Amino acid sequence: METSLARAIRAEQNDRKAVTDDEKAMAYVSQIQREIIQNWSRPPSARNGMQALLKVYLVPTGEVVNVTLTQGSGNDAFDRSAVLAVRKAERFVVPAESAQFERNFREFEVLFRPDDLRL
Amino acid sequence: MKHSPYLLATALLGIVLLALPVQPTWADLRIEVTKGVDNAVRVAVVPFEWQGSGALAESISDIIDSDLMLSGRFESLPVSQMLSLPHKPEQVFNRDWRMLNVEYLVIGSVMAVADNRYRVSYSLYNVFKQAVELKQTIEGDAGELRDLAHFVSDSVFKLLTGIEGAFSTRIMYVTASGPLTNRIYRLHIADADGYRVETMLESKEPILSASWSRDGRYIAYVSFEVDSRPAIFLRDVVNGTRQQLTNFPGLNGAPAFSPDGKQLAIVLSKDGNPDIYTLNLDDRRLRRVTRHYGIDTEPSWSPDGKGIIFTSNRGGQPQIYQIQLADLSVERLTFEGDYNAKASVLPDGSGIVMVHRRDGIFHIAMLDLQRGRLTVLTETSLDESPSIAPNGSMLIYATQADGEGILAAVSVDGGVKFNLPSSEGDVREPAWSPQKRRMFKPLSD
Repeated sequence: METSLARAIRAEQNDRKAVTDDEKAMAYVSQIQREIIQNWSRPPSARNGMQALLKVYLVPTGEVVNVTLTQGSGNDAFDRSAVLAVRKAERFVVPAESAQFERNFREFEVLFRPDDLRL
Repeated sequence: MKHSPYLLATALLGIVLLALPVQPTWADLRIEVTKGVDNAVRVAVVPFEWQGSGALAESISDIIDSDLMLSGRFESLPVSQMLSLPHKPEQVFNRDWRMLNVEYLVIGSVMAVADNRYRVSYSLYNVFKQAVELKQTIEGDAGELRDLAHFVSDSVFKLLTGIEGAFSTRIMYVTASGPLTNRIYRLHIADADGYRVETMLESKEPILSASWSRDGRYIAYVSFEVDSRPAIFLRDVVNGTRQQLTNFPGLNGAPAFSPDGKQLAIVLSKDGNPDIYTLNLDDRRLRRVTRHYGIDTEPSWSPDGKGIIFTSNRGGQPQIYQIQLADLSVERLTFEGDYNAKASVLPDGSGIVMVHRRDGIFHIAMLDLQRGRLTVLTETSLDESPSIAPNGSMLIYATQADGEGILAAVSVDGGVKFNLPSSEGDVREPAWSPQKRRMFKPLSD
């Protein structure tokens, strides 16, 4: 029979594990983000504030198997540049642990919303 | 575009912190990307297959390649580095191009379909998506091979940049050659890539302020060909006829066609000092628009034709003003700097480009009329006469290199700059044609 103290200890351990998982996930996320930034060449018609939302599908090796445009910006050249930025990355580094991969990286969304353009 | 590593790092940090989950697990992961690197698009223009006898007078694919390179938005792969030379999408072996980091391919063929008639079929292929983005077939005659190539360049450029291409347009400019004591001035019109130069006028006196009508049919300019006095002439580009429009005492200058092509804004000093007038081209009716003891000059129309912007020294220094033709109300547009001149309005009316002096150096600058922000686009000194491409994304201007006047272009976002292929002599006063030289209607497959 579990004492309340033991329950509390286990709950805290679970919390700690959760935080660590999120921290790990964040490290992967920022790596993915960096890869996409390095591959994203915006067309000259791109303007700050445009938004394109993509859905990215990976396999456990991290390879990009599909990219779809969920919500376009209204500027085809801009949307095309966003899709190309993900496709050019080809493969992302993802968690080796299956549960973590399935939870966050099997499919995820990328929102392209430039704020560093001149116009 | 360059970012300092620090900026990038803080931006990343900001996003990552924002992305901190509220719940311990992320049901739906969304990554936000707010920065990019904006490298040139990597394109390979594969030599087109030629299906016909003898040699073709122009290489269509070479012209496309040179157009895309000239725009500054593309980086093309030299033919010598290509591992294969496909002409059809089904012949593309993706790995060849991924290895070379090529993003898009332009592939195609040219076929002789009748006497002097050629058919160009091409595809724009997306290497990373492994799909055809654009496929077209166009036809033209032997004299239109360069036009066919420019049409392809325009279509590719538009698809990949979201902006109308300007490769089929033309540029008018003035050259001066010969010794200083015996200068010969010539007014030329050439393709935007510098080829197919036609000389409109040759004179021992300067030729100034050449401007296009909106339909590209007429040009107006100032020359001193009659009695060595300045006069405004109108010339029909197609049939070569010419007429003198003004012969007033004093200054006759700076003609600019209204958007509907029915009027010219001009500068005359017949009533004292230089003021802006409009001249109806059909009945030659003259209307005085500005009436001020200051010098008003360099008129340019707003895209809707309802207003004229001009340079005036009425405030003590040259600044840009706008006058509404309906009520002749005047508004000052520029306040930054002690010298702003030669302004023209972007086709969408969102801003003006002009010559701007900063720290004693002349620049081409853009003033965003909505946000009131002024951006210096070029760092070259002695810049003059900015002229906007019909796509509104590039400016052409005259500048100096090695003591000679040359033409250069810059994008309105300042991101791309290049010099235009130079012809002989000192080159000045460029004006970008508002229309394409030739349009083609793609055949349906």
